[in-house]
Amino acid sequence: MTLETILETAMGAAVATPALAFLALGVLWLLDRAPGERATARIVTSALAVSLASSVVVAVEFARRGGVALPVDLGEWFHVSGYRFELTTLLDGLTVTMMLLVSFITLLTGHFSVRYLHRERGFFRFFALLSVFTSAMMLLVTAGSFDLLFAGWELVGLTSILLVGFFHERAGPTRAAVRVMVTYRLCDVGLLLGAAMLHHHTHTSLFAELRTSPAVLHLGPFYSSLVGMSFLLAAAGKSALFPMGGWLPRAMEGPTASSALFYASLSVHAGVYLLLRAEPLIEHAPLARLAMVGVGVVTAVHATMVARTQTDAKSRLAYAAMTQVGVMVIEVAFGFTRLATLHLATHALLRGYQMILAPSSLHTALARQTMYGTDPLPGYDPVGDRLSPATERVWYRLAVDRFHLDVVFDQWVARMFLRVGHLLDGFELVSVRAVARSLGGSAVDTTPPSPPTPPEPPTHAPQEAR
Amino acid sequence: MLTLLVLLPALGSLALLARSDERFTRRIATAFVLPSFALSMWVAQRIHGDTGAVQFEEVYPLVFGVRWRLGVDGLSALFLPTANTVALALLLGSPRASLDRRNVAALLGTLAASLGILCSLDLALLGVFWVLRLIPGRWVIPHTETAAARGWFARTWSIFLWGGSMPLLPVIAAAGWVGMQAHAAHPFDYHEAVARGLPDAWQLPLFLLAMLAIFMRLAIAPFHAWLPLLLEHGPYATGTFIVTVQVPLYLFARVAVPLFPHAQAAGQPVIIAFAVWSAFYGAMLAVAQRGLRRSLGFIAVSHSGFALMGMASLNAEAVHGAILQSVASGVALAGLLVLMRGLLARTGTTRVDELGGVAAQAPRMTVAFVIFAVSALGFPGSMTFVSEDLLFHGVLALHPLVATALLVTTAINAIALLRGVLRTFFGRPGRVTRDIPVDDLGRRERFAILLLAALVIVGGLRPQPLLDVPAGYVRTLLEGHGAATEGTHDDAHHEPHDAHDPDPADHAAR
Repeated sequence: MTLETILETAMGAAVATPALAFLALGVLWLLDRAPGERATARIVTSALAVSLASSVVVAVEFARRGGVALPVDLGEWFHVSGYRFELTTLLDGLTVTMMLLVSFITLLTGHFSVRYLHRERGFFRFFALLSVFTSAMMLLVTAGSFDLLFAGWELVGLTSILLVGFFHERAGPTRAAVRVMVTYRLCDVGLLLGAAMLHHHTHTSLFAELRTSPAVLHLGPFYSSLVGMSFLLAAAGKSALFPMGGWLPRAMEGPTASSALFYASLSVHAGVYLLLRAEPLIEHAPLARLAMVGVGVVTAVHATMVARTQTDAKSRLAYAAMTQVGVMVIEVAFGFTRLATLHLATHALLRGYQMILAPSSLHTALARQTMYGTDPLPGYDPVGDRLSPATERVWYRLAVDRFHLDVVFDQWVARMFLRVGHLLDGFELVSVRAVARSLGGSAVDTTPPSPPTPPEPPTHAPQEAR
Repeated sequence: MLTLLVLLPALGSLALLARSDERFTRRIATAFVLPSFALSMWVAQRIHGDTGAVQFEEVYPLVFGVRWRLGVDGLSALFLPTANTVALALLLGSPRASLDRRNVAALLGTLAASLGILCSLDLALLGVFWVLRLIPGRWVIPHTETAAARGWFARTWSIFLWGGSMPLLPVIAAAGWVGMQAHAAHPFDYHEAVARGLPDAWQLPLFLLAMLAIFMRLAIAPFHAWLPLLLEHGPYATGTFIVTVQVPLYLFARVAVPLFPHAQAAGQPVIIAFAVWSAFYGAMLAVAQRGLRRSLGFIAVSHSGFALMGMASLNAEAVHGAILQSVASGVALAGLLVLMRGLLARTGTTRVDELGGVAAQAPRMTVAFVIFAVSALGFPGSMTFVSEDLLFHGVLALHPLVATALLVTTAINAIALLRGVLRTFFGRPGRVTRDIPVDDLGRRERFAILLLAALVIVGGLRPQPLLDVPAGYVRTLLEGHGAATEGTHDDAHHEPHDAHDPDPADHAAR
């Protein structure tokens, strides 16, 4: 067996095995033979274990090759004259790191969820979605082009939305899922636009060619910045960067296992991964780098201040994750890609661990208090101590209100957007009725114009920290 | 073969009309549609996609030089099984109450006329089928709340019928007149008409008439108002079929582009502007709706805009994308409409604010809804992902602004549909679902849904066979159009009758 064959098989297995588990579960469910908890968990965790083992094989082969980057061509998805959608993966240090990270964390979370979600009504659904998420995330990190990355990116988003709405019998998770979906879809336009602009101007969207293709090197700062900023928009959606991050605390409505997986460990870092992949291009894009630094700084400062005013563990962890992601974006903007990768990996592990512990945080705090007799960490506020009480009150108030970002989004984006839709709808109905009258009849009793939908009540904190 | 394929549903329709008994309606209809479906699959599988030439040709003389000339190329070969699949899914998956004998007969009549349009190689025959396609639906306009409202909807249908049909008739008549002046034995023959062309002075007015018919039938804004009304108040099965099987797009590719190459080239920016506006307008209105059916109607308007945008762009990626988009979006929307009818039959409403929490009672219906919703929106793994990817790359080559508009519109469509789905199926039960138990999908419904879902997903994972079928057709269309428009640039005094491709055999491939 040649090296290429081993690599292709292992990479294919790492991506496809969880998807096969999902397929098996889906077929059984359709045949009214949905397996019980134990069988479901075994099917999925076995697939996740195979994915991890395959990732290890890939890592070992990569190390044996001396760590040389290697594009692995898995054929093509489809082609028409003049256009080809290639299934190209790229094997380099970043891919290997991410493959190990993704497969390890998903297996661990899957194992944790077996007991955590025991006798939960959505047990089967959670594990089915976990399988899809793992495959999608593996596809995202093994993709060798922006086109293929987008496929994984979208599926990660879809599973994320469905898991936010996991407790679908309550209104809060559904509203939160709608908010996450709206943000994702709007920001995903950036990824497609960036990839298409790159393809249009350079005739490639392969990561491996970003450093070597003369067309990319001669793209010029304007187009490079345009592409880079499009990718930044996409990253802002997925990684909850300023000003798009309002969905992240709402996403905590999902079960803790999925919060740990998506919004502490993996999905929230997908934006940083995208920027890391685009870094060779961003290197020549001064405007995009400037924008990244700005967005990163504002995200980190905003999130760290808001985090300190949160009253529940999961929201606090979500904002803490946002802070670190903001810092990672700054690191990428300055070209510190290795540092950003290390930061990403360690942060994903730590934050995922903290999130999984969140439901028992009260228990842990009480145990510590019993052990030390008091809070083990005395309060330390070097910035607050230097502010006047009035100033501190203002900042505190702003932080509690999350700097009114949600209000701005609801009032000025969502409501305005809906208002335009309602205006057009009103115009539509008036014109239909006018035609009806001109024909001498009365209009059919169509749906009356909907009144402007009131903004959905904010779900500042999860109702139940599961 | 093709004659049988077209006539089987027509015979089925007549057989149902001849009966006075409502029993076995579905079985009789399925017995006629199933062989037609099998034949269309056979044709699609056996066709040589690498050539744009017409295959499986059948010719029988009729009157006044008009011939029963049927044939298929890569374009029609893909649309034939789509039409049959949608009809079959409607027959199998619809609630019993929606499929009485008259409605099923109308559906089969509409199917037969659609298959006739897709196979016709004689312009007069095509015109007859074009008009016939809307007549069966007129018989079965359902009773709405008041007689006045019913009268209004009947008038809307008539406007749509005549507005979308009459403008095409002068075009066909003109092509026939030119043929008669040239003493052609078969003045309405499609390929001979394309080879002859039309006089320069007639090109613009006739092109405008043809486009009016196509815009109206394709529901391109501002000629779209009938479509949401049809889904909300029109006959269910026939309405769903008309909305999801985009025969008008076929007519655009078959008639407007080859017969009017110069006018098409000159009018391309205007057509694309209409398509972009339609896509955006449909998406914005879809967001504003509280009724799922009406919202889906506007999403269908938006998707029509996508398909027209791609076809009018006239480059390989965009045309392939438009063809696949019309198939993929049609199948996904058909799945959603079948499910929506099931929901309506169970709850009596499809208004989002009256539903909610359906997932707890009907998980299979929820999963099916999500699958079709994401398939209609171009998520990876669905056929629409492939079609939108191709469309996007195609229109990007045309103009980056058009491509950006397409992207923004797909995002708005996704927000509209997924928001509706999440609010309908998740969350607390609404006013209606609080009191009424919602049964999950039955076995027959599941089968129909699986048929459509399999097509969308398998087509998404392995799209190449679907792209190979029309490959030769697309190549020939673009070469023919390129040669024709080049002729205009080369020769300011272009002679309409001079065939750019003097070998008549080659015109068979157009």
